[in-house]
Amino acid sequence: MTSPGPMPRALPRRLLPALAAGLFAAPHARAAGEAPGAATGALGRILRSGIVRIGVWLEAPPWGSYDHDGTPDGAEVALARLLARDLGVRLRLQRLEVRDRIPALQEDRVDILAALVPVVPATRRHVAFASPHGELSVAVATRRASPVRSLADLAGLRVALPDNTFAAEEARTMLPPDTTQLLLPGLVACIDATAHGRADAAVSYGWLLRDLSLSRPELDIEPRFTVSHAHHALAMRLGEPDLLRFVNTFLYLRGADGTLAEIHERYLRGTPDVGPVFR
Amino acid sequence: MADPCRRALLALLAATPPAILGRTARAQPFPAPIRIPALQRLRAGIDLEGTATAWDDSTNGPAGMAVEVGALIADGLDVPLELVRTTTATAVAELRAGRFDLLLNAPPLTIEVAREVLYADPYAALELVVVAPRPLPLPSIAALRGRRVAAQAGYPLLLLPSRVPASQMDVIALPDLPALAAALADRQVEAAIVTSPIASRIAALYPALEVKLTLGTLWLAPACRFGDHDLLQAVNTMLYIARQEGTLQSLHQGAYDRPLPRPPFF
Repeated sequence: MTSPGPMPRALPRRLLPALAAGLFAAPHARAAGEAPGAATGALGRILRSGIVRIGVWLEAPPWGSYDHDGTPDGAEVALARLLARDLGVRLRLQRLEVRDRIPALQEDRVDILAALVPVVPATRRHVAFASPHGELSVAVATRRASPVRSLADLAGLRVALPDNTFAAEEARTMLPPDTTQLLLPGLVACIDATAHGRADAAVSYGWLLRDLSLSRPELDIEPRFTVSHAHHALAMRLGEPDLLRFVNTFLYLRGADGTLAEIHERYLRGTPDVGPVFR
Repeated sequence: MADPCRRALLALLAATPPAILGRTARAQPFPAPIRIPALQRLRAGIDLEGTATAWDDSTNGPAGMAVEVGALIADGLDVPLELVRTTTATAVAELRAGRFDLLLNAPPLTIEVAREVLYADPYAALELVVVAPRPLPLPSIAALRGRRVAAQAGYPLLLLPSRVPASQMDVIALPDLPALAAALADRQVEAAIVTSPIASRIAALYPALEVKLTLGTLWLAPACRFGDHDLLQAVNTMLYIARQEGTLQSLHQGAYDRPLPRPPFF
């Protein structure tokens, strides 16, 4: 008859509750009362609470601004409203300053950014992007007789920048150091200043300059070169794959039924050129 | 905690099969996410009633594009395909409950269903159309108001409220092509709402009938449970490869006699 081996050393008593909890609980922690197969993370919370918090940037017309009644308006705001409707929840729009967009997402003050966030490597490290739904190019325009052809040619000249816009944010860091930067209230003011000789060049958006050349051919203004070009997309916190997939499905369906093109046409005129994406 | 309790817990732990502690326990209320390296077989739900993507072939069993796509995905994952029969009414709930891991012919892509499951990328696109006798004037969706209309049971019927003023129509659900064609031929109904493959077959059988209106595209895709992103990624990769190689286009052309449209990128 063999004697039993040494008894295994008893587990510390304090570990037993945790052991029991780990044994009986499902391997993936779920909120109480949650149905099997329900959405997880931010999407689950949005669907359960009935509220989605979407951060917008309202100093970026025509993507984000106010209408005549002071109500938030613009292409990104319209997209946020559509997304909330498709989620079947109430929309809580959160107005954000340009530099507060990514921190607001990371600090869980918003669930999604519809705030003209460009898909660039620097941002990609901090957020999860949905499929791009638009593009924007920042361009420089001058009078037709101007010899300006590149950024370097702007050295020593007066450049009109539309205050509080993505275009100004983007261009300011690229202008030659001895450029005189004239911050003016809005895109139209910049074009006007350049056309009438109060500035040597205007920073603007590619779509606006294309539109001007068609609608106001008599205006002495001409696009010269593109400063930057980027796609923009809805952004979410990293590690929220259920929400990301829902948003991509939303973009797919609304792209297919023409709703996204309608929004683009209403605020930006024309059809965007966004390439295929493997989601 | 008393010692007997501690002993009981340790004994329970020792007696518990490893499968219960691992991923494979199917009786759990919350199915754990699929781990691709540990996957032994692909349990795929298939709805063989009232869809244009799968049906029961009397000699060969389940057939159709969804079955072909399931085989293609399982082959890519190098595991056997286990088809689990489901129904239109229960498919989404059964996927969520873990009865199977992938729903091959999920309801057509709608934003409402996207709140319930993770859609993979679409593998097929059909039209939802209105078929009626040639002389009947049906210039627009509004012209359907007040009419007696048959709808193909299954997803076409479920999608009606989002595509037509169904509440202002007299809608009758009919199960299959013979019933729809008979109802139209006997003038029990003025028009029928069906998917494009069924419409083609009706028009071929009854030249007096024609497609009057298109109510939009139905994008068809497999679906996974929320949280199953490894499986979703694997399915999307297989579909991507099949599209790149032209296999998906060939299957679509063969099944529906029309090319697979490009996905609607904005």
